[in-house]
Amino acid sequence: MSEGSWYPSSFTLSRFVHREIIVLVILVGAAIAGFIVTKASADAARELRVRDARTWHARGMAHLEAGRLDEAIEALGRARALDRDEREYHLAFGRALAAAGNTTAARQALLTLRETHPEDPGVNFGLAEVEASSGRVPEAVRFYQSALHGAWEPERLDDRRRLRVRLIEYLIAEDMPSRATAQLLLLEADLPAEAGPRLEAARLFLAAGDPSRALDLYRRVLESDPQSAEAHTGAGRAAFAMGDFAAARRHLGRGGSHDADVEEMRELAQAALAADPLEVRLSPAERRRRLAAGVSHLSGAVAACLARVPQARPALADHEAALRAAAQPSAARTFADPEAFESGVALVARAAAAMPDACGPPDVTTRAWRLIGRARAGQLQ
Amino acid sequence: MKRLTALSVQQLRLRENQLFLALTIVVGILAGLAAVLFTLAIEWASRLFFGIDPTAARLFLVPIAVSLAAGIMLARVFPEARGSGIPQTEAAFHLDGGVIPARVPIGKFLMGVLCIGGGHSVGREGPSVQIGAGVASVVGQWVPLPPERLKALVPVGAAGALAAAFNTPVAAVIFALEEVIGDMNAPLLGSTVVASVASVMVERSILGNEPLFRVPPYQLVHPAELAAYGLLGILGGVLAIIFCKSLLALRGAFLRMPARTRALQPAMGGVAMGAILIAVPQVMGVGYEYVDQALSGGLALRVLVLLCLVKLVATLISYASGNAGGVFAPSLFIGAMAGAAVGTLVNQYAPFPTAAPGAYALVGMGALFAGIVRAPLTSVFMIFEITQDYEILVPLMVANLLAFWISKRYQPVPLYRALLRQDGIELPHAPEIRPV
Repeated sequence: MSEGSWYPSSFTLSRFVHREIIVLVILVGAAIAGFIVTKASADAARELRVRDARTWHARGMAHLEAGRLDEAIEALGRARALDRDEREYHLAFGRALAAAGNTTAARQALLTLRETHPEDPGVNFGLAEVEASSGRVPEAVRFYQSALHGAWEPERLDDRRRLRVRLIEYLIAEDMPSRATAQLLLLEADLPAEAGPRLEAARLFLAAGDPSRALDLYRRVLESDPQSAEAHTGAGRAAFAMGDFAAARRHLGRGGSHDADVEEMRELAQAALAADPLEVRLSPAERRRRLAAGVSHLSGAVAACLARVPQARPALADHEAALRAAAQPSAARTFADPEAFESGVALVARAAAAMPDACGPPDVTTRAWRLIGRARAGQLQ
Repeated sequence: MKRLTALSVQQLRLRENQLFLALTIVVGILAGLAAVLFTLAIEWASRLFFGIDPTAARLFLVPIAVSLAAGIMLARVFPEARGSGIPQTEAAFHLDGGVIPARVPIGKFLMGVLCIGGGHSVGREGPSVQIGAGVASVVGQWVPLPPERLKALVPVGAAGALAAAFNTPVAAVIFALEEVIGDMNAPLLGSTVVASVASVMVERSILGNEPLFRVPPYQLVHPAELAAYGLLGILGGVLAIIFCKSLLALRGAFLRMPARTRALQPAMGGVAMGAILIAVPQVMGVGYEYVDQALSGGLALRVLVLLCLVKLVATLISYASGNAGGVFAPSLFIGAMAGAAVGTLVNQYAPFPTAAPGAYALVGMGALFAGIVRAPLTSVFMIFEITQDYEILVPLMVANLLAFWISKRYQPVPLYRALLRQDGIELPHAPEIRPV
């Protein structure tokens, strides 16, 4: 052994390079060859995995559509495990779990995906739907908004608009009309020129309790397409909600819808127009006649109810007395006085509103008077 | 001229430490490549044997046929390739001066691919450790290295292979020190770190830097949850004892059978395994896709309980009958199922806010691993590295310590030592390692 060396110097491979160096070079060569082989194998295995994952995903989606949720979860779980980079598999897996009622697992699956795709609108939307289905309203709204503020490709802006519509519908369903209106204003600013999205936005404004903006949007649609039945019906509904019964009757008539609620609205608008003593362009005599007719009708309705349902007396006793007094000929003469006239209209409207459910379903005139009371509330105060 | 030549020789001649460092890097790379190739080969074999959607006939027949072939080779050609490979590696390190014949890593690779790819409920990490250690030893013998250095190269190869098998460089180093060497203060820390890093770099450049499981960020939601995690640790300890004692008892029974049946014993396990796979194919092989589902909370309570129990039985049969494969992956599988089951119950009935069942699955994995493999530090770091989530570390440590303590209290001899003892091999209590 040479001094300071642990290796016997009697090697014969070379005079200049020791055996250990040659061995190292061979090992490095083997490592490089091994790397190439392993890399090629890994790529081939990855391709196979991706192919298998596609098969499992297709199977899972078929199970999901057929409602076989356990099988869908199994298949989609496999697809997700085989190809972890394909976000669609994770989303489908989360959807399947949510459909099976396992919202905790669905949330976990999507949160896992969100770790790597925090701004993905699809992932945030999936989470929002899961939270919405489990009644976690603040979280659902947060994820809907994260989805809206996510990274949207320019060609998918229509999807973004539809997502905002979904959020608005959710906010309306959860009785948050002011937040829904705030989103609607953003939606309105982004509306394309086509009638469809405008009609949808108008419908949502109406549902959110803003009939004025709804009517405005319907009218804009009617400017470009005066025959649009949907716009007329929508405008009729909006006008009806605003208490503009003349416009409601006109639009509902042109809309031509035979839906039960539209027919009912049309009938009520007609009745309100016929009964309203405060309608424009009426002679004073006609106004008084309508009021007297209203007093007489409500007086009869209240009396009939009290005869049939004595338990309603606490709610109706005052109204009965006031209506009876107003029905006297001497009282009717005082309706020439504007103040007394307005008091009379308010009295009839209040009595119509006070009719309890126990009295049975109110007739058309009573309902018309309720509507008149609501529409004229500002005037009658 | 003579002086010049002598100088060249002097310069080219690597000094001992430099050569060992270079070999450490090369061994790390080779062990990493071997571990990755082993994983891929198992995947290919499984796909080849079972296809994408195996029939009942395949599920039943493949484990039998594969075990029959493996049994003959294990009895006649590769007798050292049975079981996990970690006890054999420890024995080679402590008793054989780090000498592992070349046929051992080759045999382990082939038999591991055959048995794990053929559906047996065993893991690939133990065999990877033995293959890595074997590659290291073969390289060391070929150079050749002096005895101390050759011995030192074995845990280096083991760490490299485990780092690549799990994509867990830190846990691999700790495992090499905690389990293979048995001394956390061993002077081999630097070498194992170098090999582990080299191996993981290779593995990541081939497979990408993906954690073994993708989990959402879990955390301790309420302080009272620690009690629930404590209960999970106790359950983990109990399950670990059941697993270890049953495994030793069943393996003992197989070992007591006449020697002429040795070649057929894996096939006996294959028959039982085939029957199990017809009913519960989810326990086939490594089963990490189901661990992934448990971590995501995607499995129902009854499925979790079923998989936990069936996997335990399937692993006992596969391992005890002499097939090649380890207990790392099964312990993670059983732990994940048990943990998710506990988590589901806690989620439903706890009067305080709780984390999702996936968090309990994660802690359950660590607890079972700590209880069965008896390497609590490795367990903590491994769970941290395979999930890349440190929010859950405190509950994990609580559960791990309880599982470890219970397992140690009622099963004083660690599983790997007990397995060696069954083979008539006794490891020294205090490992003798000279500083390198």
